[in-house]
Amino acid sequence: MTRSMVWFFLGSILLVTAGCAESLHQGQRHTAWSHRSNAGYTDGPAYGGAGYWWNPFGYYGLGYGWYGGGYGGSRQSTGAPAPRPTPPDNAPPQFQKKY
Amino acid sequence: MVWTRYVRSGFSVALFLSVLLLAPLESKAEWYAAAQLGVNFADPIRNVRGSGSLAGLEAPNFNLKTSPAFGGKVGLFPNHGILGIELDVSHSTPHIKNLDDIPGIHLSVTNIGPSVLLRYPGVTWQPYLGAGPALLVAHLGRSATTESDTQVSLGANVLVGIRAFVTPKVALFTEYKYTDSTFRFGGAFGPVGGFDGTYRAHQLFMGLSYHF
Repeated sequence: MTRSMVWFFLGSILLVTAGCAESLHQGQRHTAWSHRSNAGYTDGPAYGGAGYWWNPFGYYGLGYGWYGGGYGGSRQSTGAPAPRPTPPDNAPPQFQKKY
Repeated sequence: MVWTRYVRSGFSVALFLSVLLLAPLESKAEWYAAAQLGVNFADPIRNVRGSGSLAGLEAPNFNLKTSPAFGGKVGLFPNHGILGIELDVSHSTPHIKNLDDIPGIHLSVTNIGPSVLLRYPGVTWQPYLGAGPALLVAHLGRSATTESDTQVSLGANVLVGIRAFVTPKVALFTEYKYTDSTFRFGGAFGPVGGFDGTYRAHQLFMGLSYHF
């Protein structure tokens, strides 16, 4: 497991150093958004505007605040453990192990 | 039971979001396909309980081997946005280790998981996270103590990763995925019965995606 983790660490470094290109889709989107939001202005930052990356649902739209109800769920407490039944003779050996 | 209901709700939500996302589908949608290779670190199968005529019996945890994992995925981000959907299929072989003098058992698990993804749509870097229901097809091999048995169970996937573009259409990614389910091998011990147990796995992947 340790060796695998090292390999993944090295792989991640490779990924980090290799990431040097721009996504075609995101590049097109940035270009389109920049032209739309900065119409009439030659410089300065453009904040907001329909078509920016938080589409399709808006910055605080459906993509945010969804609730998973607590991952894993709650498990019922059974209270005091019940005595374990004695396995029959024909039970598989896995069920005859003491633990 | 609560868990099963939760997973069913997850499927409904995924279906709803799929319809919602695909409805305004236009040519600007960003489709991608990916191949991935990684490692499956499975927790022991816990809460091992007998089923069939073995109902009521309990067994120790079944330790699982760390195994390679591989798979592929296809996904879609409508309007190049932050919200997307993805179908991920991965396969691993977390064989059950020997239990003292009881020999180990071959186990393979195929995880089919539709997920809803949330990403930061950076130009070069795109961290993302996602979640969704999972369909786990697990096959237990024949051994000295078990019969061959295949089960299909519902579960859930939670994943987080980061994608880095190396060309305008090709990206490398690394991803962590957590899976939770309950296996129900009803015929694992032949006519005597089977067993149920909680399966949880941590998977680390690296992969290559092509964005159409």
